[in-house]
Amino acid sequence: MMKSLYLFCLYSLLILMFPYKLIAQEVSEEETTVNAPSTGSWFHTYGKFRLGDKLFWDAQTHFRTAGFDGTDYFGRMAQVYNRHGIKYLFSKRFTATVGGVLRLNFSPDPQNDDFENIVLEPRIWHQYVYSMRFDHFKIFHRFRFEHRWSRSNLEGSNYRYRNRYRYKYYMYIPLNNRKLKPGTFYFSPDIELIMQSGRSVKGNFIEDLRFRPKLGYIASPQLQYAFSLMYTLGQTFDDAAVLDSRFILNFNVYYSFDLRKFKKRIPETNVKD
Amino acid sequence: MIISILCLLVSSMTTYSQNTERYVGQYALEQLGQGSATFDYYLKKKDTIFNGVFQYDQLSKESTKRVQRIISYRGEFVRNKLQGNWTFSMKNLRSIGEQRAQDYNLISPTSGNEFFLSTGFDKNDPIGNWQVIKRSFVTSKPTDTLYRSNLKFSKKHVKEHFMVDHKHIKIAGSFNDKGLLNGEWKIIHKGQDKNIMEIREYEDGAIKKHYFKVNEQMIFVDYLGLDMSKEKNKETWEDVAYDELYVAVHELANISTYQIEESDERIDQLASFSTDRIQEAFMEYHRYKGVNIWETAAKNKVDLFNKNSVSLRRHPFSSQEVEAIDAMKEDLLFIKEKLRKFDDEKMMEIGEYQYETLKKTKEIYQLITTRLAQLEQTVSITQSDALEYLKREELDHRIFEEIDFPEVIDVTFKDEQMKIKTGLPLSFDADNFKLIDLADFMHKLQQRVASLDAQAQKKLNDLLKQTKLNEIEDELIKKKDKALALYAQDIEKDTFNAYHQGTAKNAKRFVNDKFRQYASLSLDEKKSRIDEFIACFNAVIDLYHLQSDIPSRLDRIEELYTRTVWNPYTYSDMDERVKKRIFVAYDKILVPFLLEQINKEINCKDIPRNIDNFKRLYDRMVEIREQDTKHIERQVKKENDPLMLFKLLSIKYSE
Repeated sequence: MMKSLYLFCLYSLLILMFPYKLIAQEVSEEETTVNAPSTGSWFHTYGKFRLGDKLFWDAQTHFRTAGFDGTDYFGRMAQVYNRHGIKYLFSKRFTATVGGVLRLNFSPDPQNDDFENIVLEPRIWHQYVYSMRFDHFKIFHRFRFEHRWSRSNLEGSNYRYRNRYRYKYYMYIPLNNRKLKPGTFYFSPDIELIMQSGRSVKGNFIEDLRFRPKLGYIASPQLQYAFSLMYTLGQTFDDAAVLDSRFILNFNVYYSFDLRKFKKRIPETNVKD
Repeated sequence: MIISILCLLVSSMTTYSQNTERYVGQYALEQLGQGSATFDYYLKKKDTIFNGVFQYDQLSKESTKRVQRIISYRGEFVRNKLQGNWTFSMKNLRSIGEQRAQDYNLISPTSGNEFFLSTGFDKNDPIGNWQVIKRSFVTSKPTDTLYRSNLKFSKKHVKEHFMVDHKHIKIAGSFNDKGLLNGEWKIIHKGQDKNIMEIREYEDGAIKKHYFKVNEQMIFVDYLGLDMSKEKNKETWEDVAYDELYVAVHELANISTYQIEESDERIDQLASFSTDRIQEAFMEYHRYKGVNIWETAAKNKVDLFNKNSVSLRRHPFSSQEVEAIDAMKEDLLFIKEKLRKFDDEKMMEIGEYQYETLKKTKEIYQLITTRLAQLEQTVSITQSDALEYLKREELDHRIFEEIDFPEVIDVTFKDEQMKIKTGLPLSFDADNFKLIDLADFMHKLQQRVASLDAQAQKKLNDLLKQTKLNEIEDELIKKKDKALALYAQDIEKDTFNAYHQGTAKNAKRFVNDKFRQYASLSLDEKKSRIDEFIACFNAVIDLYHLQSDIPSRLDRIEELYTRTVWNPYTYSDMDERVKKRIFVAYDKILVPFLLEQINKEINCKDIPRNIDNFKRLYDRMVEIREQDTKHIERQVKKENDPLMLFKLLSIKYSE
């Protein structure tokens, strides 16, 4: 157990170091500056509805606020996400999902008439998750690709098309049990690198690097909760040498339902025992 | 006109275009088998149609090798229908004397007898004079005509006149235009010194008068319950054949006992003889010695002539009478079976000297046995189809004789004379006869036999046990030792578990106490109660085995009520309880309740009860796993009373 934790910490450190070096190479001559961190809070619900032996309907709704006008974390409404997709279970260790997102971006300055209150941002997304099982924890590799059409809330701004390339590494480490089962508290270290491309992307390929150490609880096979304080770092749009940073409170609820017929959910029973 | 003539020509040509051929050789008639035949026929759609002469001879050996049976048909068919004169002959011949050669044949004279039937037909309908002759042959020559009967058919193909001439009897009578016996039928019983005249007067098939004329005196035959007038209740009269049933009705109803001086016979016996001869004579026109004469020849099944010759009034049985008749048969079978078994019982040799019950049963059974023939005769009358043609309310002791048993009999047991009550039923009232009363009598008798049998069997079992007590005690000791060894962990060590541990002390004490209790019983008590003690030790052994199974059964239910769900977030299989409320009720209330009962109630009565309750709980939990139990789940919520939970789960809990 100790050995596994040691290896995990070493691996995490290497990953944490990697993006700084990459950013430094990109902005070779300029000195990199990091803006003072902004704050936000994310309330996410994740739903998985089992439709068949191999198919799930993935339904996520995210409510996000941002610090504003002297109020940290909860100052203004930032975004509302509606993310849906169909997940196919290739095996219990590998899944693929495809679907669409409709994001509502709220005005960064609600009092300013130069900004529209709400701007729509549609996306197409697909992701591939691979899990690795160890004796007492699990490691996940998530690759997500998003094709987004977005614009700023400024009146008259144009939509621009960008692609996002996201890789997320995260773990589930049970704390009070040897296995992940109902009644288990877990720790989930989570690191995600989000890169982007597109005509408007000029040097700011790294959109975001997220560090999210989560604490969670599995209430039942159908319900779990998680909390985290996430730190993010990403190149600004105007100047790739300037990095934005954020602290984000994260509250997640995960739920799942089996929509299959009753008999399909129950394994065969030998009545004549 | 021209067209009509052409049509006639064509049809006649078609008729004559059927080429009739002659067959000579072996041919099989359905009932008789192979014989040598000569006949004319033509083929129609591959079917052989007889058309023309027909001859058939079959030679077969009778059971005694020297006698040969020859069956012969001679006659003619027109398109498969009997037409013109036909003869049927059955000869039983025995070769006698020396054989002699003639050309290439060896010929020997024969002796024997012949049944010869000559008839007339018109397209399968009987016409003209039919005659049966039975005669004997000596050295190939007819010597004596033993019997002759004639039946004449009129043009309307109904029977007209009938005559029988036999060495013992002569019968003559006629039929009406429906073919039913009608008018005066004269029967002469030929005696050595003097003939006796019997007269039967028929009216439209119903016998109206039946008497004997002796010295100008008319001695009437008495019939009981037989309706002899067709004037009333015409709708309940039936035209029937003069067959076995008609004969049976007459024989049952005939109660005459008059003895004629000129004869050794009573008039009921003479009447019976003539009735039988008439029936036999009628039958021989179409059936002789098992051969259906005309059905065999005519190939296709045809009713050659109306066989109904007489009329009888039927008095249909009521539903109660039908039940009574069936019940009597069953009751008699039961009685006979019990008497037979008791008679065969070997233990009775010593039993009757040892037990009063057995002696008493034997004496009463002997009493019934003396009346058994009468009982059988009485019940056999009720089973006869003839009874339905008699008015039951008119029947009396002359047909159903009363069956009386004494109320008390003297019995000697262990050199002591005693009087015992037989308990046998009083006879039915024969002069106020009712089938239902007779059935009631039979049933009471059957019940008395059943009661005696039950008591006797108990004593016989006692006797058997007495002789086998040592063997049974060996078994008892083995059971006791096994039960103690199991709970002492001397055997089956691997299966000894916490549940055994919980009851071991009580179980061992219980077994030892019970065995001591048995040992202190008297011999008679031991005989009567040893089975109870064996059953008790068996229950302890069964309890041990149930307890061995408890862990696996609990695991099985746990497994059944656990579902594995794949969690799409952690990518892990997670166990989930299904039907949680039911499982909790089972796991937290019912199982602990039953286990406590099992531990607490170690006695002969409660061990099997607790085993059954546990098994029923287990079976029900397995059963409802796949059923929709939403309704039950709502009800078991917050219910803590185990008895109420058993009820809600539809488990029959034995208290």
